[in-house]
Amino acid sequence: MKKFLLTVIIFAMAVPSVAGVKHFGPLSVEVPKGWTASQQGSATVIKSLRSNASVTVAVNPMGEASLGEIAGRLCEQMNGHDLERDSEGDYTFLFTNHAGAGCFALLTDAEDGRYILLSASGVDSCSNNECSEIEAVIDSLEWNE
Amino acid sequence: MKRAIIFAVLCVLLTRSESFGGIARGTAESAWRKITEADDFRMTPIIYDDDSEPNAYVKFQDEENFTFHVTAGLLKILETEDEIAGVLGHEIGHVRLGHYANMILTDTAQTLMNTNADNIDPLALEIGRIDSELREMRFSRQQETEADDYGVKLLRKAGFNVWGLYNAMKRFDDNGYTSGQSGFNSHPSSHERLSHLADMAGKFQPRKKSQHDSVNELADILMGK
Repeated sequence: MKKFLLTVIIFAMAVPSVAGVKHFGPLSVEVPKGWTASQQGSATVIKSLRSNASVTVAVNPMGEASLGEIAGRLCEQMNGHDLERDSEGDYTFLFTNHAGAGCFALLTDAEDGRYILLSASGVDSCSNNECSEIEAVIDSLEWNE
Repeated sequence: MKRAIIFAVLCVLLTRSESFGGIARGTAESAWRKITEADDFRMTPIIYDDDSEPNAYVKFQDEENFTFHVTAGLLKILETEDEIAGVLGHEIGHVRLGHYANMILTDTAQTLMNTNADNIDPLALEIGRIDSELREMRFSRQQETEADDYGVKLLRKAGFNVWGLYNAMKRFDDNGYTSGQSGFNSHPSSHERLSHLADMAGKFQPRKKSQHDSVNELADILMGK
């Protein structure tokens, strides 16, 4: 599943058109044409037109927990699986959301008492164009603080 | 004849016991105003959820922006202003004691699970139930206990009956909403929690039996509990 996602992200060929840049807290993101962006609690959700693919970004406080503890807790809450820590200390896991869409989550330490959560949904069912748009959204993320 | 009298008395007691239930939103608003003033806490409007499960919780946008939620089910099972004040004081405790990191984590989990909500088959999925279960595991047991202690102290500071939170928890118990020690529910068990709340409140004021307690106690005896 994870390999599939990485393959999709790395080898997507189409170049999506961009509707505009949106700023959410410390982050900015390019929203593809036809996609919508909204704030839901602490998370920014960017969804495709048919709402079957999305990218979610959240910047949250670490509190007293470590990144590993937070990733573990989040993975457990969402019945996730394949929780892994990579060589850079980031955590990834997979889960299925309420709509039955396959999702990927990545947590990284912002090194200022916060962590960044990046998640993509519909990665196992997106069209070629949607998959390339997911990739474009992720690539366009910028930290502006 | 004797059996008939016992049966009639039992019916009256049980009916009377049930008739005590429920508080109005105005009572909750009054408690909220007093409890926030006592804690010098930012007054934000209470949001009333049309949910039959008794619950109250804080939902965070970020560390500075949050909303307090009370369900219709909670108003239905509580009976006094002291009790709703205790529940609200408990929730304020979570905010004051910096438990927001856990709250935000769970709120984010809910968002992630619902990102493709437009495509969810409403008949096949019970989002509300799942989200409710997620809300229940927002805190560790220690954090729940800390918030309970904060709630009791705040009741005292605001001039409420310090047994308000205990009584509210008892209503949960009496209405069959017991918390467990496994699965999604990470709260301390009802017995453990009530025992701790009784110890905490008892430090400030001995418990006086209310008429409701006496009636329930008698009903329990008659029912052979």
